[in-house]
Amino acid sequence: MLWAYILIYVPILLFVVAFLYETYLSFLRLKGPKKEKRGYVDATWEVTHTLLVFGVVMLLMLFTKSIDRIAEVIFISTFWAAVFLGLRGALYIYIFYVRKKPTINWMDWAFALSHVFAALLLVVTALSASWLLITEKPEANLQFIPVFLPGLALILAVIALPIMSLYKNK
Amino acid sequence: MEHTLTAARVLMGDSLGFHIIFVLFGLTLPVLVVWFEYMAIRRKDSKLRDVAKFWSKIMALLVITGVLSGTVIALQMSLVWPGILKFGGEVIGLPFMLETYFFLIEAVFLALYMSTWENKRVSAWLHWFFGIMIVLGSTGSAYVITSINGWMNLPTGFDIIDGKFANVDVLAAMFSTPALVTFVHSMPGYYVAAGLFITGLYTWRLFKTRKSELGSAKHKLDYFIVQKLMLFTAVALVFSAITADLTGKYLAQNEPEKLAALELNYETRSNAPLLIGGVADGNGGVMGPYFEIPSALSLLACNTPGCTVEGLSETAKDLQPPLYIHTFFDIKMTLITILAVVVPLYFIVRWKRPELLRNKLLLGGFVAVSWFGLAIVELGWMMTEIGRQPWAVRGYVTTAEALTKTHDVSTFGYLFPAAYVVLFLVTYLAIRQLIKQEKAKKGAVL
Repeated sequence: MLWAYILIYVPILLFVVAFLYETYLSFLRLKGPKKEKRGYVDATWEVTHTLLVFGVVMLLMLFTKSIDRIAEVIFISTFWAAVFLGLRGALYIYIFYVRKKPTINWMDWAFALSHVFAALLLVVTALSASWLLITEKPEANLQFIPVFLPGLALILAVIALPIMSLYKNK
Repeated sequence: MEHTLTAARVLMGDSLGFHIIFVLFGLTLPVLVVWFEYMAIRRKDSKLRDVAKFWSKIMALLVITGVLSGTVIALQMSLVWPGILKFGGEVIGLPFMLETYFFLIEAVFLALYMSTWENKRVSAWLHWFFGIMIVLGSTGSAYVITSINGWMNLPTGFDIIDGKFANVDVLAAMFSTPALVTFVHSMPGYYVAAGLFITGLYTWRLFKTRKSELGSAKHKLDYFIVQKLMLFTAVALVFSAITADLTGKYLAQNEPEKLAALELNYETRSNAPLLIGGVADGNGGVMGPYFEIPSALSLLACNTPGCTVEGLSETAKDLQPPLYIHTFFDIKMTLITILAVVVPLYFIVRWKRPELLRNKLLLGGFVAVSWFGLAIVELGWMMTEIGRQPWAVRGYVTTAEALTKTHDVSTFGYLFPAAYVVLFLVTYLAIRQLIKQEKAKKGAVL
């Protein structure tokens, strides 16, 4: 059971750290856009998002027997988080790909605030799911773990160097 | 309940319809980009390298959009339709988990690939290898997701004894016949769709150019790219045709009610004809203009004209798929037939009368068919998904049973389609901006 929790919470914690950093940058750039690197992360954007997806997929797939209960508890906060993540994605594309002038306007504020709202809603999701796991102790699909872990170790070995290089050069 | 179910189905349909466009580009562009980069390295051609680099920017943008829409679908599968995983999570949960492997590989190597184009410490071949890893990540991800869809169409890899799962074989579920058949048929379909669409963009540029300027060095590159993309599309089209035959045989054997609905084949019979045109009249007949190709459905189903093909009458009325999918099938087959003429026509013209490739009518014709592949993919998936109805997991869980019982999804049913439109618009504007930037560059490849 310990592995189930590790697979859920480690990526979520890593995501929280990376996402907080991106949130910090999104507010930092409101002081004035930098020409270089556009004042915001580029290359690691999708890696950060992948960590969230990883954690959520582990939560849902390891506890499929109780998925209706989990869905009931996290439905509203998760979908609204998805709305704000979608808004953040659309604004990200607009600000960094479409807009021609390096200016700061209401879109940049909306972009920064979408980080905060998404983060808050994801915290609600994480806390609600954790509370359910603690209080109801649902049965996990532990049979997946011996199959999943060796592959994950291999994948982590493959991506370790690239990931270090990415974050180092960011 | 009926209203909520409809709203949830519309939400899922909108999400998949939108997402699949980004998926097909997200799967094809890595292949095309690494191919062009490979040619650039082998020929020491900086122009081809610039082409690969330009398209990699579009690829990265579309992957961002695809990830966003994909996340929403993953959430819907779990939160809106918990009944699917509640029933089959023990069997099919693992492929969902394995998708994260491929997701990680794709995300990390895409970021690395994009950030090292001008890095002198990264050799050309190492950079190309990063691209290959993106192809591995995206294709692997496509396989596991397709395997889940295949499992929903034909659940395998388990027995149910006394109402409980027994003899669970996750690998059998992951590598089931429908998973393999759907994968080998859908992948070439994506390649055709994206390859043809990009060819259309280049052909459109040629179409807009004055005939006298078409021989310039700049347009020679365009012609070269069109030729390579057409070759790519043609190969994919051949694979698509071969695997379509496999799909027909698979359906006849394993999902006969879907094939019967696609062909409005009401009665079980030998020498079953292929019906072209017409719509179901609601009384077990066909109305509107149509014609039949004798024994062709039997031939498609099992390679012999006399073979018996199961009709809709074998399936209880309330378990039959909606019969309007026959019209989707007709439209799809019409578009495929046109492509089966146009794509070889390009090569015949290029071989026999290459000067005709400057003809505006011909160029306009290529532009006109360039979106057909996208429509074919959309129609194909609609046939697959609507053709499984009323089941979510065929034979076990209906769509109504799979739907969440605790929340009304109507609000999100309106919100997400609107969000998709915004995302689509922003992505279009971003691509247009990338093209403008490329055109403004010295030595631009556009």
